[in-house]
Amino acid sequence: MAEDKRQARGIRISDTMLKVLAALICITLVAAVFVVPKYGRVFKAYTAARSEYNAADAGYEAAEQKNADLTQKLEEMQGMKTETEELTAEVFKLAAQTEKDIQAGKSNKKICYITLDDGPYNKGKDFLKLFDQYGVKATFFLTTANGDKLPDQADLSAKSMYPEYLKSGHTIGNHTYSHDYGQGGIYTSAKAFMKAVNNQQKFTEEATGGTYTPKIVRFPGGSSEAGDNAEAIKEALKKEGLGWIDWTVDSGDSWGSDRVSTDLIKNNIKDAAKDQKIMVILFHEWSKPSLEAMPSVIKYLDKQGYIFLPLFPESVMVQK
Amino acid sequence: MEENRQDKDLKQTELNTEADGTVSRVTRHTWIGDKDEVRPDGADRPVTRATFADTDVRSTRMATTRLVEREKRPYRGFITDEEISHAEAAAEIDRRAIAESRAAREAAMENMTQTRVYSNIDMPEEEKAAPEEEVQKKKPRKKRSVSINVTDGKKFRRLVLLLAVFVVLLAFEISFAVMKARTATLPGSTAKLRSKTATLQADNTALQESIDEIGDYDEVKANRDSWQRIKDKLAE
Ligand SMILES: [Zn+2]
Repeated sequence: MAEDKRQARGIRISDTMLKVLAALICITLVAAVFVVPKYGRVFKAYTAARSEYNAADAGYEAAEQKNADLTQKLEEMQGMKTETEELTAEVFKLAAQTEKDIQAGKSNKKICYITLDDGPYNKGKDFLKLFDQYGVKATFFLTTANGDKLPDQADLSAKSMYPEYLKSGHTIGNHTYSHDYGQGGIYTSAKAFMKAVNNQQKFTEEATGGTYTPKIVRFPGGSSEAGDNAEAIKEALKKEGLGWIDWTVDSGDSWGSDRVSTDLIKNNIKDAAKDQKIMVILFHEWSKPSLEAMPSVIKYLDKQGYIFLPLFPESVMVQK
Repeated sequence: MEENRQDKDLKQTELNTEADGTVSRVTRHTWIGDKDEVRPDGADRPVTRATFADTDVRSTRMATTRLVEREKRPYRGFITDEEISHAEAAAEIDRRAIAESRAAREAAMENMTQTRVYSNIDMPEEEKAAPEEEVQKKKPRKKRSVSINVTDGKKFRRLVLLLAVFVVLLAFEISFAVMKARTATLPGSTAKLRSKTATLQADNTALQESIDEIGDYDEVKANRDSWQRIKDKLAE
């Protein structure tokens, strides 16, 4: 019985199977004879090819991952940009209505337009930093009186500053290309003025890669400097679809170095804030006292309930 | 008397046939007769009974050949009952001898076939040449198989070792073939990947430029948030 069991546990291999197995082993042995001498060389070549492939694959995967990340980032940023554009349009619409309501005495809200003339200056970066810090939107009336150079840092390009203003949502205004309001200057005729305006428009477009065209002009020295040609100039601006604006509060930063101080600036603004529900404050980008006074000014006006806005063409403060 | 002898002779022949079986490998010469009778070879001598078993010629080497002899008995006329009983006993001995011989042959055959596994399954020459096996050759050839007994550790280990060597060699050669094939195709795949990577990198550069045009991520986000706050203030 035990013998039978042992027999049953045996492996039975047919004669044919044995022959096939033997033949296979023979073939395998013969093949091995040919393979062995070449194995090392083929293995080396394969390893090298594999290594290159792996490196290429790693590079591809990294590029693919980066592509996915960049695509996602771009989509997100484009989304934020679109959202910002929509928000800006909504804000201007709301602001235009709020201004009308304020003027009609229907709203207790207050609006402050901080404007800075004569840029770009290197100090403009400091102003921008401050405004970002306080979440303030302002308006920069720019000129190219110094060519494509920053007056306070000649080795820097003026053009490079333009995108910086736009990035933080500020408004760029036209302060004429030459800013020359002396005798024989821009106020000689409407034509002369418009030439200075158009040159500045062109420069702004160039500096912003054709993405931005100013809609608001500020007369160098104020519209009062235009004298007899003021009306003709205003007509010419209207014809070009441009608005213009002066200011309702002079910070006093251009009143002469012997008089200007941060206190003077703050006091001028505090005085104006007493009765102005919509303020357009004049600062200059080159003014160090203005830069120094700015944090206090912002804090004070914010406390008074002013909403800081950049100028927009539809504002009641912009003359059309 | 004559009939009696013939009957007994016939009986003896039957016994012989029975003892030999179908394979008829056992030759037995039994001669029982009168002293007047002459044997077929012309000799006139006392009849002796010689019974011996032989084995298949093919298995001569392996099978044990046994010769069974019994004492010679003198002629005593017609076969007696005693002689018949002797003949029956002799047949019984023959039968046993044949059975033993057959068992020995089968064992030898099994041993021989297993041995062939390790000797490239060549048939022994004498097997091929054996003319008396023609009858057997005409018969349908029995399908041979080899039984490797698990309890037979040595044989089993040899078979396993053989198979292992085969598998290792096969794996070695397959790996060689795969490597060779892959070495031929990999540069193409690598070039394709590099091309795709270059396209992706160009795309990435364009994407990065588009991102840079929009600005710094944090600044864009901060700008959006500040507009939202202004809107909230105006909408209050
Ligand atoms: Zn100016």
